[in-house]
Amino acid sequence: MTTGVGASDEVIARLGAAGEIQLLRERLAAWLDSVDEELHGSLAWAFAGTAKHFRPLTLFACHRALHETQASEAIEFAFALELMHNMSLIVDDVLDESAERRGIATVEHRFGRLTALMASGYLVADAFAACADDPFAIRHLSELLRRLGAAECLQWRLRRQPLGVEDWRRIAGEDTGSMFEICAVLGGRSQRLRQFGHLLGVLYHGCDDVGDQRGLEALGGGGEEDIRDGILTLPAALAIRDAEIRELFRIDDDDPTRLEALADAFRAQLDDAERVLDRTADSARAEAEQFADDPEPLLALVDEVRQLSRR
Amino acid sequence: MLAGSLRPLSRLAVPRMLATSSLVSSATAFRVGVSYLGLLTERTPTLLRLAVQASIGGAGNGRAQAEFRDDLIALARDSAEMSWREVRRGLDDLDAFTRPDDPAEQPRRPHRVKS
Repeated sequence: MTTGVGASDEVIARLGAAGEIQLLRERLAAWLDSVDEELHGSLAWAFAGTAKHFRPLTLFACHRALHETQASEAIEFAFALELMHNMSLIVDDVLDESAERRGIATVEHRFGRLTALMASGYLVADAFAACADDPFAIRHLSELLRRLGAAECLQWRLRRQPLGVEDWRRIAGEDTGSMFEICAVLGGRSQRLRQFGHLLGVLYHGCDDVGDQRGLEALGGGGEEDIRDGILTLPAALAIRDAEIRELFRIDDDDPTRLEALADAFRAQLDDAERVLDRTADSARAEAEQFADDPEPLLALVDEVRQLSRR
Repeated sequence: MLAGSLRPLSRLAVPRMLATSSLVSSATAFRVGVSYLGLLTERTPTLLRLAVQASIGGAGNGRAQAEFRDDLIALARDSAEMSWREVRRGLDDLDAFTRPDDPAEQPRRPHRVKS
């Protein structure tokens, strides 16, 4: 089994979290050895690509920002959140009908839809089981699951709608933002860094959108599917200010000429998108400086996430 | 008997806390005002330019209207976020400034409710 050793190890080392991530990988490997044989193959596959681990990195950084103790006590929370995150990826891929994730076939393409959906349920069950003795963690995992579900529905309901940047921010804040928020809350074991987590999640989501338009694979790709499905990405929200592009965006077909025109229009917005992301990064830094006892791990994390749209 | 077993808190504790909370509230209001002015100074020129572009006719009229809407909502959201941040900062300050230095002065439950 591989649990994502790759280029992101440089980032992990720079953030000084190699020890914690190693413990997390060992925890994931031990868990995989214990899962039901019927789903073992699909669950191992879900963790087989090169993971970037930005969610556990956020959790560990928030722990260090508020506590002097080692983050090892946060490993179980990071483990639970990794299970939740991978559940959301499997469901995303089913919805998007994606063929690849992290450079390999998606769980659905490899094992079929039934197995993919059952594996996602299995992940949620074990995430809760990992925190069964901790009501604080259970409460926040429940919040995460509720918000992720609602965010997915919101994102699909708002497809091909002529909306703006602030609507994108709302979607990003409930989708990726909620996950990073809960990482920050569980890592700090308090609400102090919740807004930091939220802003970091929005930043990550935006960098993902921009990276996709730059044709980067670093964040998992998926730009073509988003254009085809009319998903409101950050470059899309900026581009559809133009009436002509807005009309193209609202059409529901697979016409390659239309999709290429949209891709070109979205790419033309990348500089503006970077400016939006710079502002979001500044807000996250302000939160870190205001509310962390030691803001350094958080500032370093913001810098690493901010680079993702350019790598 | 119960009262006799408690260490009395300072008689000045409540007035001191009220005075501190007034000061912290004033400081927070001031900081919100200053930050809001800074934000307005930074964003107003762009907003004005977009408002003019959006109001006069021309090819870029629709786009300017959309940009104006985005920037206006962004200004409102950033103001709200900034106010919320300053209020939370004020709460943290109030908590820190009103915390008794001597642990013996901290209010404690006088007896175990459950044995």
